[in-house]
Amino acid sequence: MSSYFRKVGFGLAKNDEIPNDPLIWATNQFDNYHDLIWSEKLPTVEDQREKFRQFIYEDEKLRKRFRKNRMEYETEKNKLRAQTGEKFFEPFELSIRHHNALHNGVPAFERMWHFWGNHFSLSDKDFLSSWHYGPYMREVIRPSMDKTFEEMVVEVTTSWAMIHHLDNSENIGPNSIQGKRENSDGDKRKVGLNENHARELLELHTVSPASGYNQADVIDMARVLTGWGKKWSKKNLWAGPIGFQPERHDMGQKTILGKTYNSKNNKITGNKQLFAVIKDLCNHASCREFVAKKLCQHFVTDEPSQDMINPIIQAWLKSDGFLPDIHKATMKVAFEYGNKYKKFLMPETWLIQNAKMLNFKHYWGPDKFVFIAGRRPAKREKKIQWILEDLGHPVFRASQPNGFIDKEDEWTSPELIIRRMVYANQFQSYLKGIKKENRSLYNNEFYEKIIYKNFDNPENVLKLVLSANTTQNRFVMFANIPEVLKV
Amino acid sequence: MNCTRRSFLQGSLATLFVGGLNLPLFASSVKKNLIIISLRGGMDGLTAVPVIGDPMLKKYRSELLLDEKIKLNSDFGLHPKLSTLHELWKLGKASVVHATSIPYTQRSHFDGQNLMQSGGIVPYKEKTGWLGRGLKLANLDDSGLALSLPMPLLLRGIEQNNNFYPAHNSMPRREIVNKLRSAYEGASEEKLLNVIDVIINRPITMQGGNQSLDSLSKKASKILLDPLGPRIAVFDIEGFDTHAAQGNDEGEHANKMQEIDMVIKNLYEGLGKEFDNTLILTLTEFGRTVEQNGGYGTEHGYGSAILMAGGLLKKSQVFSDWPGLNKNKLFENRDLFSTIDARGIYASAISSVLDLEFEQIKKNVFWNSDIPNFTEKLFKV
Repeated sequence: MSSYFRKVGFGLAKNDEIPNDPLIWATNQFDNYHDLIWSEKLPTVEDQREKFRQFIYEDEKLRKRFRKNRMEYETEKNKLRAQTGEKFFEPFELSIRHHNALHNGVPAFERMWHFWGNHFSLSDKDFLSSWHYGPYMREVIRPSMDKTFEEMVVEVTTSWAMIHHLDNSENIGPNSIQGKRENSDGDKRKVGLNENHARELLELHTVSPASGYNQADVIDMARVLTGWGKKWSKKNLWAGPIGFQPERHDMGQKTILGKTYNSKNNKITGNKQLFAVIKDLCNHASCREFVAKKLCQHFVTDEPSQDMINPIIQAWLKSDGFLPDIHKATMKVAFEYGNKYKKFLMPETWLIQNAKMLNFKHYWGPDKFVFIAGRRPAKREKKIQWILEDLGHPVFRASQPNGFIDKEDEWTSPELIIRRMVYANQFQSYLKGIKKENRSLYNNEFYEKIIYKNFDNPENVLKLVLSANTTQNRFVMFANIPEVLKV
Repeated sequence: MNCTRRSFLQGSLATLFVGGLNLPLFASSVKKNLIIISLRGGMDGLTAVPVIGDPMLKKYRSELLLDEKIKLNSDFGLHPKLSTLHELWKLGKASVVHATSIPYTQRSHFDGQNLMQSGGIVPYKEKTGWLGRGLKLANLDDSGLALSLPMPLLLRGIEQNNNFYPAHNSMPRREIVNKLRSAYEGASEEKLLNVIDVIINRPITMQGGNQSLDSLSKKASKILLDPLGPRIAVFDIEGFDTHAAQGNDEGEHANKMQEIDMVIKNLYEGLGKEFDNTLILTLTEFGRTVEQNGGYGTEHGYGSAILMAGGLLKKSQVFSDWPGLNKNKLFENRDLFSTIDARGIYASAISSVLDLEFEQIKKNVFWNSDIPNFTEKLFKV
């Protein structure tokens, strides 16, 4: 089962010890919570929201000041970008992510972190990738991995990033105090429900369409969500903190998937109502089924069987949705079905696996990566962002709220396969940080070592790789043979 | 309103059934092109093509109304950013289908985009696209080209699709690519083998360029001009999900209109006289609510518009069976109704472009679904 280290992790490097029991190696990683390793203090959600606030607040002033001078406006705007790190933090956060994937010793835990980030994906809009996606991953998704699925959904649903992403601040009860006031004050501006967050909470985050909800359910879900939003102020504009604003909440009874809230028998109102609904959604059979299937799809195969999904559902039921237990069950399923099924890897996982096995140290940026207001990120700092973009997998810029689709057909267009070849052809440039004399380490013995550690059919893989003649060509071969593309 | 309900449908019911040989029936020697522009996010048909003949529109969306609209006829206008489309309209080479949608009413982007491409009824059930199946039926196995990184579902269903979305750096040496090909063959990796064959056989026109919509559409014209090259091109434009600050003549939605118009312009200019053998058609997963929301945007809806251009159109027209905008005429009291099954438009379009009999397409591409035939109304046959 040598390929298991790639199936649930990123593979083993040349000098890594081979764990005695691969399954225990994997499940042990979920016994404890693992902090991120990074040399400097990491910016918090609030730190980044403040930079975003500064950006939009100052931008508004610039717009007024340079109303008639587009060129000067652009110059000043670029200064503001540098001052607030608008272009800095995406590659910065990607570097943290890749540094940890490679070096923090819990690769299965990191893979699972990436999985949840994609399940609760933000998409590319309103500067989310600039300031917010990184702290969202670090402070909302990651700590939740040590809690229940329900707690994770609560954290995500009430997070600044998700509420901003899915427009819930614009979701105002038409019958709420504020709704009635604004809709009767004579000016043309009318407020009402915005179903965006409600729909994705049902469709993508919890029960999925398989649960059979209908438009009336979506509307009532949106009504439950009214009141949860950013607090607007003159200083904060739309970068204010999240809170529950009762004057925006649509009172009255709501029914979602057959259950009625705020009725005679169920008097849960206000901000507590959302928690009650999330509890029921997370305890719905469709939710377990949907999430368990997605986990199998990520780690085992595009089309998991019910037999594969069931042990994860069982672990869920037994532990009341405790995520470490669900993660361990997933590791076990991946172990048991690992020999029979192969999974085509998404580009980021593929890139990190190549970096791990081929010992690339500097592709993700410099070791010291410190934000200094006013300094623009250097080319070498932005490299990781460009690589992922060109591979078709800019992880913080999904085009839609369903994130990146984890299926082979999504990733095997000619152009996407060309990209893998093109970037493997570039791998040599990642050796820049390595001293010249060490480059000769990529000899036959090197490949023998890493291939016997990471592949179930090492003779064949070794033969293919060694059939290429130069360091560069061997990188291309290694990275693109079927055994590396799929595991 | 000049267009009355149902009046135009009658002719289409009398189509003759022609048996199911897997061959083009009126095979012509001309290479005809079909260009699909997928408008992702749910395009607001009422802003692209406002119904000026319906006074109700003002009542629902006072902040979203256009100040300067192009007048197409007494009932319909056109967004001012669609100026190329308007030029083509004057030449008899632009049409709009209005109040149309795929028969999907659940308002999810993902399910909707899946169905607009698969042509099916149940989301995610079909693994191939209606265009891919159409190409298969016409024995045009290597005719599809996507101008995007992933291969859209729309084109899946044939073995050898191509896509073009140029990378910045250079390919490995040919001998290494050939070695990889042998590795895929040795491992019986059929999918990878097909893909690498497409890569190895790429034409010279598929070099250079960049990833902007402007460059891609110029490049696509060149690739389509190759008599032996692809005859289908699929573009993706994202960002039609205008929940907030949708704008009117200018703004978010207007920028999107400009992108559509640029693609049409580049294709019109780039294809030259071959534009006469071309059809451009837009897809979107649904329209948007008739009423504006609290953020001066619109919510997910149902009926929208299809924009079409090219010399394969019969004439310039707004083809519609207008359902009306009174609350009781709206779908679930909120969305523009769809009175034309968009799949009927898709099927009729490929009937014209691929020289296939409509009934064959209906049977083999759309599983004999009850879809109307608009071929003679809309396209040259």
